[in-house]
Amino acid sequence: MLRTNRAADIEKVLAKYPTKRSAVMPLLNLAQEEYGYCSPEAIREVAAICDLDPTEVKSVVGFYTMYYEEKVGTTVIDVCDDLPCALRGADGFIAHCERKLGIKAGETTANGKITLHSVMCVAACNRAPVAQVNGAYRYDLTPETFDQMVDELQK
Amino acid sequence: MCAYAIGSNLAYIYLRGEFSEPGKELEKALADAYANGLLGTNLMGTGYSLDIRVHYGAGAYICGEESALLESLEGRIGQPRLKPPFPATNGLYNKPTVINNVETLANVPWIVLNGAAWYRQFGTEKSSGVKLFSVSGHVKNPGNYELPLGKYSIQDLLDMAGGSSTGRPIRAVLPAGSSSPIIPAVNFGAKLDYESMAGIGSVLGSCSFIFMDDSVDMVWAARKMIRFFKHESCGKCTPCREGTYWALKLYNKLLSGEGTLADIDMIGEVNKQIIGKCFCPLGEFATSSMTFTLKHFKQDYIDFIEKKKGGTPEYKAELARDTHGHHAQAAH
Repeated sequence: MLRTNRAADIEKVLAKYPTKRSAVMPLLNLAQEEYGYCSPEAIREVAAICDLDPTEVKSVVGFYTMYYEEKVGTTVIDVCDDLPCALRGADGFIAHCERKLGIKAGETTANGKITLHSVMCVAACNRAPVAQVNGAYRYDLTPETFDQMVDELQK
Repeated sequence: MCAYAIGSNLAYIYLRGEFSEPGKELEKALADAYANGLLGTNLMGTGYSLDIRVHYGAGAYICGEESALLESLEGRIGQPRLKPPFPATNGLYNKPTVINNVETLANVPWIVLNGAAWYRQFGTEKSSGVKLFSVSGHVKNPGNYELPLGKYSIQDLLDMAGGSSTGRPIRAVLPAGSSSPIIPAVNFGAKLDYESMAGIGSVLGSCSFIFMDDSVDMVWAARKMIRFFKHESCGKCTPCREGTYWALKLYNKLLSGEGTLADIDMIGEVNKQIIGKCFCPLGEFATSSMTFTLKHFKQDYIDFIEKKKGGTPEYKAELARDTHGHHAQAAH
C-alpha cells in the first residue's frame, strides 16, 4: 500500500500544491517507484488520495510517456533515436542494442532485467548516442560501452 | 524578482520529467536558497515571502506550451487551453499567472544589476540582448553557445562549433529544431537575429541549430521530424492528430520503397489540411518539415522515388522499430 509504505512522501507531495489533483503526477512517480509500473491497484490508490475517479488518473498515465502501463524490467534503458541523435548514429546504435539484448525496442528481456525503449528526445543531442538508464544519463555511447553496461546489469 | 514584481508568493518550476538527474541539482540549489533566507518567509526583512516548488513533467513535448503546462501542473493531461482568456488573467488554478522560459528569467538579474541600456548594447535594434544557441548534428563541437544577437552569421556559428564533423560539406540547418523552416547552406551568410532570419524565410525561435551534411536525405530527415510530431501531438484537435498520422503514413510508404510521385503531391495535400487549422502551434510546427523540405529539396523526394532509394535494410529496420518500439502516447 502506497499510503502505508510512503506516507511521509505522500504528505510532502500534497503539501506542494493547493489542490489534491495537482499531486497526481508526483504521486504516480511514487507509485511507479513502489510497484515498478502504474498498476491498476496503484492507479486506484492515487485516485483515492487525490479524490479523483480512477479513470481520470488512468488518462494521465496514458498521456505521459514516462508512466508505464505495463510491467517493465528492473532497468529501463531509454535510447533517443530522434533526428539530431540519428545524425550521430543513433539508428545504428539502437539496432545494436536490440541485437545485444535479443529483444526489439519496446520489449523486456526474458529474465525481466532490462527493458529497451526508443524515445523522443532526452535533451542531450550533443552527446549522442545517448541513453537514460533508469533516468540517469549515459553519454557518447558506443556498442562497446553499451555491451559493458549490459553485461554488468545481466550479472 | 519576477514573483516579487507581480506580488506573487508562490512560483513553480516546471521541469521536464527526463530531468530527474539535473533536477536534483536544482532542488539542492533551492534548498540552499531557503537555508540562506533567499526563499521562504519575510525575505531579508522585507515582509515579502516566496516559495518556489519544482513540478516534474513525465514526457510530453506539448507541456512546453504555456496553457498545456498549466493543465499538467493542475494534474491533467497536457492539452492546451483555448485562449483568451490568457494566463495573465486566468492562469494556474484560474489565478493571474506569469509564465516565462528559464532562459528569459536568466537574463533578469543582469539587467537589474547593470541596467537596460547595458543589456541593449548587445544585439540589434529589433533583436536586443544575448541568446543561447544549442548546436547539434554534424558539427565537431556540439553544445550551447551564448552569443549577442545580430553579430554573427549562421556560418560563424558553424565555424565556432568546429565545422563539419564528417568532413563532408554542410548542406542545411534547422535553426529552431524540427519545428523550423530548414535553411539551405547558400543562406548561411544570414545574421543570427530575428529580422535577418525572417529575411531568408526562416525563424530564430528556440535557436536549436541542427546542422546536416550532404549525406542527409531530406525525405528521411522530414520523416524523422513528422514521426516526432505525430508522437507528440496531444490529440486534442483533429488537423494535428490526424494530419501528422497520415503524413507519417505517407513518409513510411516512401521509406519502405513503395512510394510513387503522386505521394509527393499527397504529402503537400495533407500538409495543407494542417496549416492554419490547428488549436495550438504544435500542429503548425509539424508542417514546417514538409513545407520547407519540399520547397528547398524537392529533388530529394523525386530522386527518392525515381532512383528507388527506399526499402533498404536500414530503412526497414527503422520502420519496424517504429511500429512496436515506442512507449506510445495514446491520443485522447
